[in-house]
Amino acid sequence: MDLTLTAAELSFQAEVRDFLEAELKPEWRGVSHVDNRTQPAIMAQWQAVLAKKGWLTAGWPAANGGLGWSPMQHHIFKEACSKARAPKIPTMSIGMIGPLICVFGSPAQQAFYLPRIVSGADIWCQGFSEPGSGSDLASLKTAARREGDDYIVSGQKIWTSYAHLASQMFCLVRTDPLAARPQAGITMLLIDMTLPGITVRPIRTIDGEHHFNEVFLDDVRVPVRCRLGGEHKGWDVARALLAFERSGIADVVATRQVLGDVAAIAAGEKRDNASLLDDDDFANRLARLEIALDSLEIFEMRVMEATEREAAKEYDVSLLKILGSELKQKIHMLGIEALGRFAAAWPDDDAPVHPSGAGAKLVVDALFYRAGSIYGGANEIQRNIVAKSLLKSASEI
Amino acid sequence: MDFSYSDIQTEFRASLRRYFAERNDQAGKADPRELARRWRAELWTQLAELGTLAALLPEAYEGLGGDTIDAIAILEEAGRGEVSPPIIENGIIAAGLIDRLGSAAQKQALLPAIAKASLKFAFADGDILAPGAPGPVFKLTQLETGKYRLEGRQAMVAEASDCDHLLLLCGGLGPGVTLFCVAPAQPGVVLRPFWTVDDRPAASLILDGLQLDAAASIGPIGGAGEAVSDVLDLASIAQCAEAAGLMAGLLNQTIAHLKTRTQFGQPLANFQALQHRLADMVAAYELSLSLTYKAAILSRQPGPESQSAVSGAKVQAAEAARLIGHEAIQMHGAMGMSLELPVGRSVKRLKAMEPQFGSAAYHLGRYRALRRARAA
Repeated sequence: MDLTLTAAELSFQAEVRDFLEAELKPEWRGVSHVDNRTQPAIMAQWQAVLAKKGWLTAGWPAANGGLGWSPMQHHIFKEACSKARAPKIPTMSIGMIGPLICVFGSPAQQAFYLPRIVSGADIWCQGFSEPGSGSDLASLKTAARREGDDYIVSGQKIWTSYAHLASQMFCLVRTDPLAARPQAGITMLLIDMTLPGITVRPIRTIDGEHHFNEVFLDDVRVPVRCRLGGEHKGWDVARALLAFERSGIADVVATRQVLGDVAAIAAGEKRDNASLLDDDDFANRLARLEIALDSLEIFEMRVMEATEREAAKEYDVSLLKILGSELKQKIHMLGIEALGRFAAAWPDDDAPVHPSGAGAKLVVDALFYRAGSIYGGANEIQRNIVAKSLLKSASEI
Repeated sequence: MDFSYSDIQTEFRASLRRYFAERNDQAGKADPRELARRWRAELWTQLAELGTLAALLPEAYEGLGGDTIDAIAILEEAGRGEVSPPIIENGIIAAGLIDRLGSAAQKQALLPAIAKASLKFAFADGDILAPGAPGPVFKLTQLETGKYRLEGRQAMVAEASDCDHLLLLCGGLGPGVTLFCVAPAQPGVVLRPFWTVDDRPAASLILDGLQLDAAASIGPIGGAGEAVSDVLDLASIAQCAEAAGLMAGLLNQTIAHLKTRTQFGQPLANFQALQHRLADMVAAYELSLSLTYKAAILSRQPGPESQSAVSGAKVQAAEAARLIGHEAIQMHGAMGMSLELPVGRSVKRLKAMEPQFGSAAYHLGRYRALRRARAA
């Protein structure tokens, strides 16, 4: 057992740090990924810088520009980016549909879509959830019927993040309503968002922002060549997402930054020369969360290292998702508590500012991050996965 | 980065696991205290033969020269095996303190005896780790050159009623602490034996006019502090590993119970209320084990970082132990209350461990102090 990186990993870590130092402009750092006013433009510029270096698609298959990084290399890269407060890499395009097209796309599809994903010419959204189909995704009803060389798609998607900014949507539709199992009648289509019959309506969220949308599809004519994978095979395509590179899912570095913000807020207001950090109850609770974060950091590394040895358990990623999202939520809530009455002020320009100078962003981030235990497979679903895996396994812990 | 045990450690773990499984099969449903009485001596000898006590001792004194990773490998298995012989008190604390502080003659006389299990030690820490305590409860005064007198009492000293030597941590002469080694039968030593909740022999220790020669001290007067701090950190790490083993055992027993116990015409495993709680138990186990590994690895170079990790591991282990222990009993239903099942015994062992080598409250405080010092 040891915690040190190999010489090769250390030199890679230094290379990443040097690259970030040289290429990441100060004004790009620390841009909250929930800030829709500035984030999309900066994200595109950052994406171009990474693409030029070849690191944007490091996790893709080698034939499509992947670099064959080890899980530890992915971890090192993401950790360094987080520490430098680099903008997030767009998950939907680079993390999800890009690699899916690499695996399931025809040569023609790969030639068309992949360069546009890499260049950022296309922004993608994910058309999975529907009004009646959230965690029970396989019950989705948006219908696609074949008519010559087209599918005619009708139905509604909802909670579609950034559909208002997206030029393309990877969308699960029902092509066989009579299939024996609901999963067997689903197909994945790559839908051009400019096609006639598509209406995008905003859903504002509790953080005051516009992340989510409803997407209405009204007899949208999607060419058959835009189908990814076989007809009725969409569930298998979507499931393949689960096997992709998942490093950084616990989001430890970003959460440690939030913890630092919370400590700064707590230290920021003094009364009788003492701050909230001198309060035993508060300081104990903060330390307790920091210890949990220390533990999670090592657990994530253990999973990373076990993945390299092909010894990771199938539920490890679910545990990381549960623990990472819920810990970050707890830290956010402690921050809100530290802000006290300032947390009740909506952070407009005329709102009072906490003596620490921090805080306004934390309230908005905390509100947004209630979604952290919902998106990417709700934590209830993750707990199902963990328990079912344990209860069907013949081997002991 | 590597979180796996070496081939030799893996093999050693497997042999310990087989040994403990056989013992537990033989033990059946016997009363735990009866078992402790009947088997302690025999088990002790066999554990020594397996090398669990020699593991951390230097090779020069018939030890195996192992490190903290070997220790956690052994203690994880001891936890899984639900045995609670004083491996930590002897193989880690007594061995570590005598090795760090003792004279060549003391080492020669005592260390091989620890490895062979021919001498048993108890360690009275003078409650130095009790939160809010003013310092060591055993007060040392000098009578004349080379002669000392010791007074004080400690309510709970694990293993003290079944040991050949007591290691006493004393304060009183200057700022430092001093370690003495005394025989329980020595005049001025009063032991009031009792059993712990996890069926281990213990005693209240009263020192009333105990007179000591300088030769009885292990290391210089006032000079034991750093060694004690490092060795107690190792003991804490080993104990967290034992706790992890116990928690793994509780999880495995609970999973087996959920799979086999049928109610309302179906196995308990089908009920989502239980599934989700099981997921949280496993999550707590993995977090606790992770910090234990970190602390073990960092203990190679003792310092503020390793100390933070140790304190974090103790806090995390205490929290995980409560969650997993209580949920294991609850999910076993009334069966979880039975003394015949290992569930309740493991929970009691975890409870008894919690205040040893510093409670969760003590370690949370130490973690905060270390963090604050680092930030300053």
